[in-house]
Amino acid sequence: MNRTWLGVVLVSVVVLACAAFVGLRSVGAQREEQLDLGSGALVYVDSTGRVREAERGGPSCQRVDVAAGTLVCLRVTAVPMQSELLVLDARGERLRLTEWGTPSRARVAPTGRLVAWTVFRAGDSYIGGVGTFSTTAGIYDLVHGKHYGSLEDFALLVDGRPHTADDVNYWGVTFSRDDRTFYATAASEGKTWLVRGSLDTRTLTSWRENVECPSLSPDGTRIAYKFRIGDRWRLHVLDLASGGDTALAEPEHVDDQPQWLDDDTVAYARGQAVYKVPASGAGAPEMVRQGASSPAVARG
Amino acid sequence: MRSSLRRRWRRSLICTAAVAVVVVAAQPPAVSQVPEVQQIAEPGVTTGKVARSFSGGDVCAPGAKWMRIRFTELSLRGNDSVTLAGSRSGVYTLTAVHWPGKAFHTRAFEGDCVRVTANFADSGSSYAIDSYQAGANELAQATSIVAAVGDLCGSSCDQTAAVVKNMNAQALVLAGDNAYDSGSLNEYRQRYDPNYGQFRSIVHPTPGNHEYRTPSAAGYFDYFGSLAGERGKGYYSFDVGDWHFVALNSNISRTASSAQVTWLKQDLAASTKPCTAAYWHHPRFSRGDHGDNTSITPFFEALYNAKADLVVVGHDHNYQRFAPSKPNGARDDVNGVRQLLVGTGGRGFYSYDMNSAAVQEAGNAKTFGVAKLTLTATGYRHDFVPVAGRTYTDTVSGKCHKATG
Repeated sequence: MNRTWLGVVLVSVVVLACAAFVGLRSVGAQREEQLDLGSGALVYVDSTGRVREAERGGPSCQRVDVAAGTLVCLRVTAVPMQSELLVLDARGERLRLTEWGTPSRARVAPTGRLVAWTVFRAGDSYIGGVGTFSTTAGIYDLVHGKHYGSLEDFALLVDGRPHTADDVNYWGVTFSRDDRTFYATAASEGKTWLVRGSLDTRTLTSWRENVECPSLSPDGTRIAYKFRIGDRWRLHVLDLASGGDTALAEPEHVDDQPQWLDDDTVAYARGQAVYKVPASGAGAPEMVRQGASSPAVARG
Repeated sequence: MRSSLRRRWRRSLICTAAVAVVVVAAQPPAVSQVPEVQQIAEPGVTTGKVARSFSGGDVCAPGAKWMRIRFTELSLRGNDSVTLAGSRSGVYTLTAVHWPGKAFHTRAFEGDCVRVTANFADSGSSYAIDSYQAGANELAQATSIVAAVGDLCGSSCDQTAAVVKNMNAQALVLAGDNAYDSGSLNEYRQRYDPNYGQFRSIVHPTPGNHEYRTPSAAGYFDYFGSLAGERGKGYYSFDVGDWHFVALNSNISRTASSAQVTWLKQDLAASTKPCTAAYWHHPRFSRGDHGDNTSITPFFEALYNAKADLVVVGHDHNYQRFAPSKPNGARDDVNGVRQLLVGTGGRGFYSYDMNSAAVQEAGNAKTFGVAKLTLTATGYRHDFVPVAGRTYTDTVSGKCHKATG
């Protein structure tokens, strides 16, 4: 009896101590609230660098994505040139990894079982003149605990032939619903390709040229991407079955990995705001939220 | 005659051992603390005392498969020598050059006894043995793991620290540039310590050029204290199993006539170990941006002349494995020293596309990782072990130049 009470007291002390610690932390920063990852609401990064969903403020991140109750957050850390990937779900933290580089893109598979990230590396000696850069894109399988640290470790086939140049970079992963197939951008020797990747065979196969930052539609039939024209990018949608390509009704330069709000609407950040535009190529861009970036949808 | 004596020894030692266990448990350490060339033992190796009155004959560890002897004194005049012979195999003769100025362990000898025979012409010669290390398994199975890496913290030394931790190494050697950007005490505390501080009991550091961005590498010497060798010098040596390890400082004078190279030659001459490795920051050979560096030749030459086996360096932020070579880079598969450039501890990569006088056998410029050296009394296996999630690996093995059998 005495021992039970001692246990209760000790547990209470620990709980109170933790509560006090969390409380102090919340005062120091800003209170981090539980997000509803199945609400269907827009999730984005606000102008102060925090993830927001409706009125709730989540963690501080530069990039965010949500699917099937899994949230991925990519952010800088106190260590120079280091990014941290944080994965959360309703039970709390699922995964935390560090990466060399600054945050660029983040994605969750439609099933919530895989996450992907892209960081810009700094300090590579082959980062040369203006317009050159170096990236790392990786994938983590949350179900099997499998870490695909960099697509550089996959075999790349361009037009059916192995491509082994040193200057290959990958970025902007997007997942299909089977949790084995994904698309990304590959770049080498001045060219960029949409590549189709397989986690089973660890291969990447070139699919089409000049397709950057692909984003697969919820129904898996189309890819929204940015198409380079000179030093500008325009949003396009590629139909995977027909190969048909449609320029969207956003005339401005867009540097973002687009996000599908639903099967008919593509969202993206431009300037300091999130916009949306019909995926059909018709209509006109419409501002969704001012002072926002990295749009995502808390699909259940 | 000898075998019956030994049988008697064994029987009486069963009782002695039981008593010894109690004594050891009550009063560690078993061996007196005197200044010594640190001898890091293979896992499972035991230590025994030798009677103060010992003055030649057999030093025995009943049941042992091999033994190495600790000398606390070796004062040999003229050509006087002391010959050591394992009861099963291994013979080595110590002369005046083998006294390193402090206590040391010899190489391992096979068998459960080592016969110690003095060959003195001068009555002023003397020696003292106070203890031994012994292994219950065959010497060929006595294995040490040494982790080796340079150019650490950086953005990603948290990833390589996890690799080191997984190795369960007996020693961790660092090839410099351990805390960017300037190796200040503050950077060591903020960047190195949270990741690599956990290895304090096994770390043997060297400084890189970034440590010397802080005048006299003061942050480095302050942080590591006695682990970094003498302040201002930063070169020192120790033994891991039957390997002699030499830590050098490539940021200070290293000409053939420098104090450091003079010390290096003496240190190498004193070692009885069949295998030798050395490490420092600046590579002698590199296809990376920093290229070949002939100012390092005196290190490489002293090591080559002493029949050393391995060199670990950093500075270029990539991994490069070179073929065994002469100091000028010419391939030498018989006596060459193999340089492993392991600048992959967690700082942004450098590519390599330059020429080198030496032969680069393998390399990678996009994977953080740590060299895992698996060492025995006759050779090594080296594995490049990548950080979690990455797939590049490289493996090579070699035999020690001075190993017998």
